[in-house]
Amino acid sequence: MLRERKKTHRVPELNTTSTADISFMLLTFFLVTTSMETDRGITQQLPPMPQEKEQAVAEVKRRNVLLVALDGADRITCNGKEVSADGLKAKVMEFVDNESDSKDLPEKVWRDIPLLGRCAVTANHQIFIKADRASTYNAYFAVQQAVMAAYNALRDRLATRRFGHPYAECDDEEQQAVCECYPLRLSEGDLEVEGGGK
Amino acid sequence: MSRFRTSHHEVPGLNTASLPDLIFTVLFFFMIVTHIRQAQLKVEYRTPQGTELVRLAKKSATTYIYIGRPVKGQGHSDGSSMRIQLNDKYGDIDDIAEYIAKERSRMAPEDAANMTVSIMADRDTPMGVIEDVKRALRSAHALKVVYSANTDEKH
Repeated sequence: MLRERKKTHRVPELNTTSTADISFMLLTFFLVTTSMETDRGITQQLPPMPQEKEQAVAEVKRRNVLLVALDGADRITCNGKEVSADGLKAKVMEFVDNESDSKDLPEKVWRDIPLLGRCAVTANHQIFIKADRASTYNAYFAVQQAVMAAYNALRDRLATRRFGHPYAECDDEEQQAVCECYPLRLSEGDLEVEGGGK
Repeated sequence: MSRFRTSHHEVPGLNTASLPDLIFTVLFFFMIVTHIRQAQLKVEYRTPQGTELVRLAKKSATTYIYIGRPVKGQGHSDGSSMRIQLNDKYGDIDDIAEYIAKERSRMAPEDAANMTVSIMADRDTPMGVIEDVKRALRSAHALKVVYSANTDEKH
């Protein structure tokens, strides 16, 4: 009896030296089959295809329109004047904001916005982007980016002024209020792009 | 002298019991931050660089359209015109509608509702191609588009 108990007590330790190798193999497998790249980009909401062929052309006042054109040689023209990408950003900011309430820039409409109160908003402004078919995607992307940068700068400025922190740190309600003050209104050629994106 | 030598002889073995745990931690890290590659790339593309980028919200609701120069075998691009890649094979503008419909039917209903199409296009792609793709997407009712880009390190 005593001998038997002694025998069962000696359980050999499990050899775990190879567990490291096994997990290394799993790790290598994941390193090979997955990719690290996180997908980032500029989002855009395309308008739905018009049902009928004939499309009602909305009457837009001249002062409310900013025409950004991209020609075959990737030159950016803004309302007929050639500009650089950085110049375009400044132009768009000036256009969307219309701080001085100029007659040549978009008209301002008084809006009651939650959290912000009564604001003068250039609610009817419209930015048209027209790209030549021969222009490169890179130049088109630079235009898109300059426009987005202008909106983001304006929204950031407003958020910092009113809420004390940049737009990215605002909560959903604040972001919505800021977006309402600077609504994204982009159009492309004949396509109408409704701007809902934050 | 002999005493000195004997004291050095008994080196304890390194305990590697926690090594698997360490590696498992690294493994889980990689499983979380990476994602499985969707398709074998048949086109070579360099996305434009930007600073005003937003991170794509939901991977499961995203489909990809690659536009770039076709790659021959394992080598580099053969420098011919731009091709569109849909999933694992080359496609044309006319194939996009079918591709979108197929992708949408594969998704969960709530993903299909806010399906996003990520356009991964080479920076030298002529805008004509992009416009055709966008037109095809519009007629296929895939209206949420992302122009994929790299983050610009300079800024």
